[in-house]
Amino acid sequence: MTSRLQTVLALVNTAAIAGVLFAFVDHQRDSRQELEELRAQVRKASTGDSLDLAGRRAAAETAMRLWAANAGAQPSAARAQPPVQAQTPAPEEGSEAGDVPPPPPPRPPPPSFEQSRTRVFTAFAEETVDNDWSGKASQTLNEAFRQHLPASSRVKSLDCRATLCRVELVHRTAADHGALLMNGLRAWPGSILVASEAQEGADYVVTLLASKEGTRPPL
Amino acid sequence: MKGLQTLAKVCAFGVVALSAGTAAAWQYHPGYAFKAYYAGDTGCFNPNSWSSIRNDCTTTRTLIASVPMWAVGYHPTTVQIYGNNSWCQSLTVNGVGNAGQVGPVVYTVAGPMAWQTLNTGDRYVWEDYAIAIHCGLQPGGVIGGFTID
Repeated sequence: MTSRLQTVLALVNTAAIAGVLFAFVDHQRDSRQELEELRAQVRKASTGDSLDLAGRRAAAETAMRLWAANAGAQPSAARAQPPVQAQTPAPEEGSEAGDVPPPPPPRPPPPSFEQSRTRVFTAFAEETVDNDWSGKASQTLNEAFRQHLPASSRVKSLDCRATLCRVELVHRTAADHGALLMNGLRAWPGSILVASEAQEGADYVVTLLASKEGTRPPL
Repeated sequence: MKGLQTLAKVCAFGVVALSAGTAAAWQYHPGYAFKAYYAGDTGCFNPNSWSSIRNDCTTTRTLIASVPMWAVGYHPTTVQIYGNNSWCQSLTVNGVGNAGQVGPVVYTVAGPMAWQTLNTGDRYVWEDYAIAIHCGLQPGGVIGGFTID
């Protein structure tokens, strides 16, 4: 009785093991098929998107270069220009084109001090004379110079128009100019551009462009 | 593929974030960033509270603070000051210490000593220029800080 039961149990056990093995082998075969299908899909996708991928890779590289250029070269106007802009292919139009934003357009280089000075000189030259403001502004500046200009310094020229006054001063030393700028022009209500200061022989010649209160010179 | 898309998105986000950070580079500097303009006045200035600076001498003394700048263009400036007969001005200075654009002198409002914000105007910064804030602080006057946008 016991040996018959043992035989039955052994048969059942063997059948169970065989069933598990069969299920495992079947699962392995299904997995292999799925893997092959996935590989085929990947191959297909890679072939179809190769151009798009190249475009996006180029755009990503451009973005990284721009980022590096902007982060490291903010103070430098020239270096802020993305030099690779022209070589970069634009990302292709498509369903995924929106994933990578196009690189920003190149920013114009900021003006140098010399360019700003030229702009303000040009603006001054093109201004017509506002008799009312011109007269008051000249009076304010003349009064300031009368009170604070060192005895060894002189006003070479003073010309006020609509929003700007151009002043040429001649000092003995640069220190005279510094003292005047710091203390002598407090009565002037607008900003003052120190357009140039240069030693010319024995003279220290300074050109100032004084702006009307509340105006911004075109720097 | 997916990894590359993620990388591109991260890079694009970095570029946008960096641009936004540059555009909105608001700066606050405490009053204690100022120093006496003339060495002989150094002893006049003492800390007031944590980070402001006070003139403990009996006459007005001048101070200056300078800030290097990275963005070319106009930058609004303000000074927070306690007083009723003090003044400040902002200016841009170049590498040899010369002034580029000098702002007008702005005075505190007369009356009782009070905290005020002086609008010291928009200063134009060129490459390799810094912004400086120059103030005349009355006895007992305090500079709390200044801002540059």
